[in-house]
Amino acid sequence: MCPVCQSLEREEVELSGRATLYSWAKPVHPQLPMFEPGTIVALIEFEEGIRMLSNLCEVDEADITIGMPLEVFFVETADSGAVHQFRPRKTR
Amino acid sequence: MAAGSRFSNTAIVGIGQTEFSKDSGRSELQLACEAIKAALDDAGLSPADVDGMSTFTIDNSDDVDLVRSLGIDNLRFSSRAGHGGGGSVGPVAHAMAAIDGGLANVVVGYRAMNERSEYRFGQSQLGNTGGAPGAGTGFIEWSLPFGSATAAAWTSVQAQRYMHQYGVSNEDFAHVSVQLRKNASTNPNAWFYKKPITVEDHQASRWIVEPVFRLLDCTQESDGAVAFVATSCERARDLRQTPARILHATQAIPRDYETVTSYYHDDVCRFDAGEACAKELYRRTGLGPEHMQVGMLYDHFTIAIYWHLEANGFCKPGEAADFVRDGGIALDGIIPVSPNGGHIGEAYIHGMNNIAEGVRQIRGTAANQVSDVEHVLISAGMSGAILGRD
Repeated sequence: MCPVCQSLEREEVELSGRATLYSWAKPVHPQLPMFEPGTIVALIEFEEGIRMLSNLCEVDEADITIGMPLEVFFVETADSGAVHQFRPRKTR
Repeated sequence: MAAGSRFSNTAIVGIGQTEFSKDSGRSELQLACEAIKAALDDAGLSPADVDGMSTFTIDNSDDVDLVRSLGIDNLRFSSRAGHGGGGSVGPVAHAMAAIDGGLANVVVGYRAMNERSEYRFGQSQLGNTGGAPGAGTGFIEWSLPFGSATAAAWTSVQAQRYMHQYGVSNEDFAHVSVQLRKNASTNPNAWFYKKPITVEDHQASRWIVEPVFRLLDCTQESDGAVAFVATSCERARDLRQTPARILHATQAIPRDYETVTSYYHDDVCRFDAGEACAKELYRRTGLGPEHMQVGMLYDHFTIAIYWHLEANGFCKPGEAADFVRDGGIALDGIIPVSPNGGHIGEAYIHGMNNIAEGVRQIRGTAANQVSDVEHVLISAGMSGAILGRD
């Protein structure tokens, strides 16, 4: 239900995929099965205002700054689905 | 102190606990029975007096089994409060409501856990597929798929934002840990009795989540149980112990909140659940932070002490790191915090051992007794209470 107007009408809206980094962390212990060591957990904030957890990829840890512009990309999952990941924004 | 009508008419009259260990060697049900019996003995009551009970949604010991095991005649009231440790003061609020409202005369609250020897509370939850009703978090759907699988990882996401916004470092957190371990070092019931640490020890401990939490930022995992007994203030005056009156107790589930993974409200650096509890407690009692002599603040991780200090008005947003460095939470500080050593130093019985310490501080019987305690604030985030002298 929409928490603002309590509407139950839904529609799918395509997001821009453009986001900024709201916060992040690198869990190191315990090392999890199925995850690469050094996986960066990222709380991202879409331009549209939605926040969600994902991963930050293709970046040196020293270059990570809160607020940095990010873009979405997708990787295939083991069950032939796709999962969203983020990397520093290259466009514009 | 004045017994104004703005206060609840319920008092905690008994507290009991098992030893705090890493391997209790007995069932959680037995631990619960032992702690409840000890709390009743402390109060001078018997199982036959008990007609109400409350615990956590995620406690493994059922009221029905406890009634059978303890030999209680009949429970007229039984409840469970949600939200894990954040909701740990919920059973106090429920006991107060039940007794003030006439649903029960004597309510027992308990938490019993073998969370070190039977299961690992702080370990990866990747295998957790069902979740617990009332836990109040979306970590299974929204965190596990991205490799955020422990309480440390979930909390660190909020913590890093706070560190960024207020210029706080992991070395700042050390001062929380050092103080709590100092308190524990002179508390014979604490797991870390006689084991204080230094800032250097903290900084030498290994990373759990970079660059946020080291090992010594995390609470421990413990086996043990703690229980309390509550009844009316009238009856309390005839019992064995100095009553710890529940001036008020409350729960809080603010807009857009999640237990341990609260990433969605306007400003993640603000502890909105803690603020909601504080607002309600101060409104109902007419008291403020300046009236508190002890703060029992829920420490699952060092930074949580900052969040409680700010939410409850002991300092302004962003000031907690300096407040702690300046000795504000020391036993002789502006607001002595968790004289028992808290979870980090005494034991992690999920908030319930902090409630017991709050009662001891009101009675004047704690190992590290603060002088002239009139009011104790217990703040767990999604629940809280102010205890006072009757």
